[in-house]
Amino acid sequence: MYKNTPKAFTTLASKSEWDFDYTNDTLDPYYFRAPLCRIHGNWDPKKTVVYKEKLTTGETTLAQQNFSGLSLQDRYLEGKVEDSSSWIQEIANAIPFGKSRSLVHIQKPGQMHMLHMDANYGGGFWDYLGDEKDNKIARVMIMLDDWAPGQVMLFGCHHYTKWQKGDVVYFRWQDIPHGTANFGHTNRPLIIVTGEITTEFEKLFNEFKTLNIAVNT
Amino acid sequence: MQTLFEYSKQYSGYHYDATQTDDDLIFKQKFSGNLEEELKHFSPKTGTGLNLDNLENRMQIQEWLNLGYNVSNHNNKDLVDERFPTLQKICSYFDFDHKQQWLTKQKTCQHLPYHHDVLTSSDLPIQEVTQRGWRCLVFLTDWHPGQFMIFGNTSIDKWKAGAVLAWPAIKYPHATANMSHHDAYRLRISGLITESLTNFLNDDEIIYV
Repeated sequence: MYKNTPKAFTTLASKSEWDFDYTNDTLDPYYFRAPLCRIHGNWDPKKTVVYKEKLTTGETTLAQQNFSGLSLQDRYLEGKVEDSSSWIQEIANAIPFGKSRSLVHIQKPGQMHMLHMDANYGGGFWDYLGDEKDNKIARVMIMLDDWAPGQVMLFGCHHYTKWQKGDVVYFRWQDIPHGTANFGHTNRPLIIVTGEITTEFEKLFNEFKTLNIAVNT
Repeated sequence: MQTLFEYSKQYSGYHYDATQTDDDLIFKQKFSGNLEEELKHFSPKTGTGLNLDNLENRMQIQEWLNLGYNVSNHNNKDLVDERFPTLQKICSYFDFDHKQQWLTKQKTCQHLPYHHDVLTSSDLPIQEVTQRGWRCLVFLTDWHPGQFMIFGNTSIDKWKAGAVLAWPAIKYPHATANMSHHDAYRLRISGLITESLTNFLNDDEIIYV
């Protein structure tokens, strides 16, 4: 009567390594790390601007959003880093990835990205990595502002809230179902960075402690 | 113009401190049984369901519109009438003065913005709501990933059908969202709390209905 899981979700979920046990409160750090590190800087979150909106058209992405009646534009305002405030690129560059892509997401009050699995990513951008490219690229979110009540992210079984400005959140995009919602009173800006894993990134990942990275914006 | 959230804060008494705990929220299993069977009769009322002759309702709508919300994308609700005998029985356990009860449905993609409950539809004076106003939710469907509630500093999730969440109505700022693949049904029962209701909520007995 009230169950409505889109087929696109179940298809992608069937390829996941995660056990889909939602009864736990915590996720194995192999899948999720928050914060992976923290970026310090003097940026003003309220000055996060997307000058040119990026429109997504992927079928799998669309199917996992519009089953609910929401459109892709109901998720957040999305723009390429190069089409956003100039200081944002400096923050994105703090993550020690090889070849990378970064997007800015400004989720406004009332916007929601339904629970979903990330589809294969890149459109050929990382094809030089070969068949194992999914395991050679990683994804992080850089929170550009402190958490405010009403903002939430779900990663697998874990509701993530109360982040701080500069927190870097790592999740295994190919394994962990996730979704975000803002039913608070203020915008929730972040940068999502996807890039080729380097030895420096692996070192950061294996440190298991919060490292501070300074960025002068 | 003052927002309803700012107005409510004057009466709330909440600490608004993210480092403190919330000590008078009640969240526990109270009922068991087949609570879903009657939900097929759910027939939502159209519109926002808010009486716009009421100043506080107008303040709320205006506040949410100013924040950019689509106020038609909030919960749907229905009367708890003879179509729902089991749900009526559950409601009968809640001994409120000035009691109001609704069956609500939060569809996937719906949300309620961060707010305080001032029980405007009860027409009770705010001072009385501050002293004795409580609200209870009875979850009629199990939690599914993506269904989220925050009350004060406390995230509420992973409930089972039959669980009850109760709180001093105006005290706790709260919000809910459903980014899951499943609709969520709840009973929402409100009014002025009584000693017998306090005893019922504190009792750990689980009632089969």
